Amino acid sequence: MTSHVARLYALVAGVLAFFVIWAGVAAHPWAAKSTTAPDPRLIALTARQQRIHAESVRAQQIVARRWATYRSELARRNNAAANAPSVAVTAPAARVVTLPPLVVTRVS
Amino acid sequence: MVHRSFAAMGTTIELFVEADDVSDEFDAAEAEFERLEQVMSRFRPTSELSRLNEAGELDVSPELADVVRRALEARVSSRGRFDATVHDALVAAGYDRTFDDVPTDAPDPSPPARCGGGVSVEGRRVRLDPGTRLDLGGIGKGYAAERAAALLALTGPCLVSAGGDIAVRGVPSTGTWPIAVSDEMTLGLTQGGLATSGSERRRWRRGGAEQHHLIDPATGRPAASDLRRVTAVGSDAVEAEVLATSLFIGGLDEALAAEAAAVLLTVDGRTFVTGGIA
Repeated sequence: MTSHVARLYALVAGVLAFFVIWAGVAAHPWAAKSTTAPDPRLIALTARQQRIHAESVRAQQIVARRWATYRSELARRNNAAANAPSVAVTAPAARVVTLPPLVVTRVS
Repeated sequence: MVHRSFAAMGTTIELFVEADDVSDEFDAAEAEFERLEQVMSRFRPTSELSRLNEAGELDVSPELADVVRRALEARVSSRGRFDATVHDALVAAGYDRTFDDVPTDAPDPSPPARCGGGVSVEGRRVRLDPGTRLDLGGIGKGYAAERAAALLALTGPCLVSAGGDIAVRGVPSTGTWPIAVSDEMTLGLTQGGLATSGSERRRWRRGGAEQHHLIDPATGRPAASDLRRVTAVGSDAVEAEVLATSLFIGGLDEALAAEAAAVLLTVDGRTFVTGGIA
């Protein structure tokens, strides 16, 4: 009986020891910590990414501003067109005048 | 007042706008004339109208469909005096190329061609009866003048003259647009359009007989009118052109009875002002 319990303890202790060792090996304690400076290409890439992002934001702001201007101008022109004299007038207005002619109508 | 003139549609186009600088709008109007000429000219083999005349049936641009529709309305309203199906009759009379290239004299013209063939417009689909071809020279310039005037109107009061066809938008600071209709008479126009039709210009001879470009659809020959020239006022340049042509073809008595706003000049030199023009 005692021997049986001792073997069980020994088995559990062995399994624990196995996992502890596994964890230790998985942690790569022998791998040297990098003490060198960060890769300059990575730094340049990061800086470029930030610059492009900033430019993108600026471009979006410009587009939004121009779109607003366009819409405003379109509304103004539509309004002007709506208020322009209609071609569908019912009574043509013409009379003999004594003003110097601006243009001559002739057989087309 | 700023002004630009240029050549298009076989005539001189003049643009007037009461504004300071409208060079961009002038450019747009000039481009519009060129674009519409490429749509409606019967002298350009690649124009949309030429392709329609050749094929007899075609899906056309909104502008061509619009002009054909207005031509059909004009045929009805003028009781056949104005008819865009005079193409073959014009060709038979000798007007078969741009007017500058038409010989001033040549042997007898071909027999007159039939006018009045069937034309239908459904949406953008235009169908011509077999043997029917269209000439839109009569109202094409008026239509283009209206389109150009609509462009220029956004900048200020304007007048567009396409040969005899005139469209105005807005009123200038002088109160009216003064337009000479003869050496002795100037009409002031404040809205709508004005057009002149007559047999004084675009004349040539075939077999010794005088020909001109205003075909009477009833005979297929140049109209034998007792009028020399008609200037008519309409709600726009297209309506004015239709009115001027149909009054000319109908002759003096019919024109007087119509009581349309017009100035009539007879071949014997008399002038009549009708339709409330004072």
